[in-house]
Amino acid sequence: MNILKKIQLPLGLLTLISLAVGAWYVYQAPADFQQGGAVRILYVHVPSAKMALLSYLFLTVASVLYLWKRWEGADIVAEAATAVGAAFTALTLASGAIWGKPMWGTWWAWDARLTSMLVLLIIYKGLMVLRHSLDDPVKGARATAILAIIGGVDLPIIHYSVVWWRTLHQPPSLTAAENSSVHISGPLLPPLLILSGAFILLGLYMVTVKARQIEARRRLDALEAARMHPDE
Amino acid sequence: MSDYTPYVTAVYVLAFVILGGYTLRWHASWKKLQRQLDHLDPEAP
Repeated sequence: MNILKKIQLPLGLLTLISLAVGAWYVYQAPADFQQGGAVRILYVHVPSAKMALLSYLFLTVASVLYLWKRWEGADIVAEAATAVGAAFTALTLASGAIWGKPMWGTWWAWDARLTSMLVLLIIYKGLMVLRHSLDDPVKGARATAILAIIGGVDLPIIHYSVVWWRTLHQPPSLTAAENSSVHISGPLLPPLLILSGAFILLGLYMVTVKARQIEARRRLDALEAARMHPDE
Repeated sequence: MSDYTPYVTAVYVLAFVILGGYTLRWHASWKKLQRQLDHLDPEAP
């Protein structure tokens, strides 16, 4: 996992620069004619949701690679992506609730998008619990990889929930037609796009930091096991 | 200051606490583990 060491610093610097540029655009962005200043919440909420889903995509690909090639590096990336994905999913749900209170008049609704996103957080947490509930780390890694692949069914449900069902949550706004009431354009668009990119970089940076921590912990556990049982 | 300022502030503080907090915590934990590894196995790369 030498590559993590090589990319961590440049990735960290790139993340900081993109976050700073994004923050400047958020500061400059005008208020929305309907939402007022509350539109600034969406500059955190939407990028965070994108990273929550992207983390699960990493997790699924890493899980398939681990089951197929038995490469420990893939399992480390899967474990790191789980922790990072859980953090972004929690932020998505919390920021959505804080936006929902002034806009919808409620913190929470059992809407298809909100509920499927909550299911994603439960899956992330379930994967974390499952990995550490088995004594044998190899069995834990395999069971987690299998569950992660099965849990991947939630991704298209989240993505298409606002299309398949009538929901309180608005339909996709970036890809909406220009004459649609939810279409985002003009000065509201750049901060959203820049912060989406910045959050992806931040998520990748967090995966590298977490993966290096997991790798160090595993090496330490192996060394300590070897010291305690020198004959094995 | 708009009526929504407390909500907007809460979200940005929360983002900073959750994402920054985990990043710093994992980094500190990696540093600590690396120190232990260097102590136990000084010849490792």
